[in-house]
Amino acid sequence: MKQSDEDVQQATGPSAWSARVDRWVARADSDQKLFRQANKVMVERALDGRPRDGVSRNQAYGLRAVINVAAAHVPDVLRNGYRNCYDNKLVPIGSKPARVSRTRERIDGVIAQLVPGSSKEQLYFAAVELNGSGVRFYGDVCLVVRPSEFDEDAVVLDRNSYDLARPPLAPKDGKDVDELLRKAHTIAGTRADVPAMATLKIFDGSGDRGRLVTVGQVSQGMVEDEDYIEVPLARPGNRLSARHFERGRLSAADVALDARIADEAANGPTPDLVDLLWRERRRRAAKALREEGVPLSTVVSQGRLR
Amino acid sequence: MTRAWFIDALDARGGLAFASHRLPDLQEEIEDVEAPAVHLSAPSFAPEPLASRATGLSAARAGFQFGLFVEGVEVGFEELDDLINFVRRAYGASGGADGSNDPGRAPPPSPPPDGGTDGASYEGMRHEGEPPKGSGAVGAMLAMIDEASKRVGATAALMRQELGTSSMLLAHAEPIKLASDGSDGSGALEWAAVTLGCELVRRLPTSREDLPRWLDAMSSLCRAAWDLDLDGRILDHRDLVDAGRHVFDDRLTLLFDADVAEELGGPPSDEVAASVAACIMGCRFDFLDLESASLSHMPGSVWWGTWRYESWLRLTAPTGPERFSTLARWPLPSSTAARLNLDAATSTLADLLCAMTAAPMSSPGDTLDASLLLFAATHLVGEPQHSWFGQSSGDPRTAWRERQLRQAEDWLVRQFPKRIFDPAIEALIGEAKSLRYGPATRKER
Repeated sequence: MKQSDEDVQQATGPSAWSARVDRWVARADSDQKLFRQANKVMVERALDGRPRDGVSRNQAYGLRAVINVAAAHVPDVLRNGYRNCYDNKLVPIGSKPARVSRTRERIDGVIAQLVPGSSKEQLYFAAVELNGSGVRFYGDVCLVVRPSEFDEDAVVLDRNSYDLARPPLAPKDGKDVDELLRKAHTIAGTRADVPAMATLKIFDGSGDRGRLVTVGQVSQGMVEDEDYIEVPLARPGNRLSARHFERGRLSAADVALDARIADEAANGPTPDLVDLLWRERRRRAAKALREEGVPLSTVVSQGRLR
Repeated sequence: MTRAWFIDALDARGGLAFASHRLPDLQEEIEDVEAPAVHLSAPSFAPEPLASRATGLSAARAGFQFGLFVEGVEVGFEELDDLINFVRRAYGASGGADGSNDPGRAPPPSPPPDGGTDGASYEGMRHEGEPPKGSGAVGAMLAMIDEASKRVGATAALMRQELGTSSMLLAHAEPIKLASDGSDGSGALEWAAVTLGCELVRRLPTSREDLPRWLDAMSSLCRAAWDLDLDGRILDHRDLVDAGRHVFDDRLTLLFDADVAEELGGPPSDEVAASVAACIMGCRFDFLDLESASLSHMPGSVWWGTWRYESWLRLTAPTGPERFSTLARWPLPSSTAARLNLDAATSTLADLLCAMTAAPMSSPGDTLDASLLLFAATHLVGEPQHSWFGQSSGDPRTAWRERQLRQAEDWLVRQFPKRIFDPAIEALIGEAKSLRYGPATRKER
C-alpha cells in the first residue's frame, strides 16, 4: 500500500499500525467500510487464533514464525542449531570474498538498531506464516518456531528488509544510514502489529471485497511468492534447535515430486542422481525430525494444513 | 567490462542458488538490486525469474555463501545454462560429504588400528586388492572427460587473455559427448562386490550391540550381488584372505554357532581364511572356486553352519525401491576414499557415486574405483535376475547380464557432465565434496 505522508509521520508508536488500518477502513465509501471493518476482524481472528468471544489466544493455531532450510541441513540444524551468516563460519566453494556485502551490512546494522539490546550477529531472520510452508526459496523444509519463542514484543517488519535497498524505499544516497533507519521505522512494528500488517498486505490493491475473507485466504496472503512479513528474531547465544521447533511442514508439490521419484526408482525409468540425492536427503530430514520429536505435516494448499 | 551471469548466493549442499545478469558488483559499495535475477532449486534446477535480487542477497544472512569468488574476483558465466550446470553438479558432488554430515547415515565404523589376529596390526595385514583387468566402458568415459578438460583449459586461458580483465573470472565450458564403447565390464562387477564385501567383513563389530547395523549392510550387499547374478563368482582376491584372518577366532561366534567356530580352529590357512570371509559375505562353500584340499575335509558342522547363516542373510536382506539408500550402507576402503578425496571413516559407495559423476576431475579414481562406480550404477538401474537363470549358463544368462551392464552405462552417461569446464572451475565443483553446514573441516582458502 502506498505510504501516505500521514503513514510516514505516524510511523512509530504502539498504535501506528492499528491507526493505519483504521485510516484504510475510514477511506472507503459507506458500504465498503462495513466489509473492510469486518474483514479486519476476520484477519485478526485468523492470525490470533482467538475464539469468537475474543477473550484468549489459542496457541494451538494462529500466526507463527517459520524458517526454511534445505533438507540436507535439517539433521544438523536440529542437533546443532540454525545458523546465520555470522556464526555459520561456512568455508565456501572458491575463496571467501574480501568483504561482505556493504548493502547487507548497512541493512543488518539498521535492523539491529530496531531490535532492543541486540546486535546483527544475534539476528536470525524468519517469516510470519499461518498455515503455509514458508519461503520455499530458502529451503524445502519449513520449521515452525514454537509460539513461546516469538514474543509479543518481538520486532516484525512488514516486508523483506532488503526492500530498503530498492526503490521507492531506498534512500537517494544508498549509503545514507540515517535515512535508511528512518525508512526502516516505517516498515517496523511488533508481533502484536502483525494482524494490522497482514490486513494492509492482503487487501493492498486488491480492490474492495463484497464478501468476508476466509482463514485460508488470509493464510494465502501471508507469504505470496517473494513477498512476506519478516521477523528478525534476536537469539543471543541460543540458536534455534529441535526443542524450539513446534513442527516441520512440507509443501504438497514437493511431496508429490518425492513420490514420483520413488515410483520411478522402483519401476523405472531410473531417475537422475540429483533426483535420488534430493529424495534421500528428504528421507533423512524426516527421520531426524521424528527422532527429535518434531512432527511433520504436509501443506495441501497455502491455506490449509494436513 | 562485460555483463555475465553471476551467483549472488549459493547453498551448494542444499541445491539452492540465486543468480543475476550484471557486472561483478558484490564487492562494490552499492549492488544493482534491480538486475535480472533467477532462482535455482534442486532437483530440477529450472530457472525461476525473480522480481529483483533482494530475495537472493538476503539469503546470505541464512548461511548461503555470498557469491562465487576465486582469488577475490567473482566467477561469471557467459550462459545461464552453464551457471545452472555448475550449481547442479556442485549439488551432486556435495553428496560425497553426506556420510560426514549426518551421523545417522554413517556406515559401520572401521576397526581400531590395533585390532587383528596373530598380534599383527590391522593396517599391517591389509593388502591392496589387485585391480580388475578392466572396468568396461566406464574407464574409457572417465579418460575422455580428463582429455576434454585439458582441451577446455587451454581454450579458457586464451579467452581470458583476450578478455584482459582482472575484475572477474569468466568460466568457460565446452560440450562433451560420452557413449558406451560396449567393452566387457562383467569382471569389474565381481571385483567391486568382493572389495565392498571385504571392507564390510573387516568392519564386523566386536559387540552384539553394533551387530544390527552391520548386518543391514552385509545382507543388503549379499542381496545386491544375488540380484546381479554375482553369486559364487568369487575370484582370487587377496583382500579375502586379509579380511578372513582379521575376524577369525574372536568374532566368528557373533555370526556362527560356537561349534562351527570350534571346528574351524585357528589360526587359519589362506584358503580357510578366504573361505570364511566369502561365507560371511553370503557365498556358499560349494560355489567357491578356490581349490583346496583343506576345504573338502571341512567338518559337516561347518558346512551346515555356514549354509544356515548364508540362507538367513539372503532371507533378511531388504528389498524395495530404496536402492540409493543401500549404497550408503557400504563403506569404501580407505585407499579408495583417499584417492577420491573423501572422508575415510564415513564415505560410502553413495558418496563415490556422487563424487565421480558430478566432479570426475576432482575424483581421479583408478580402475578399481571405476569398477565400484559401475557396480553402484548397475545396482541402481538393474532388475533382479530372473529366478529361472538359477545356476544355468549360456546365452540367456549372458544376454541378461550384458543388458544390465549397458543400461547401467547408459545411465552413467546421463549423469556425467555434458559440458566440461576449464580446470579452475572443475576444481570448485570438487570442493563441494567436503562442504559442511556450520564450521568446516576443510581449510579456508
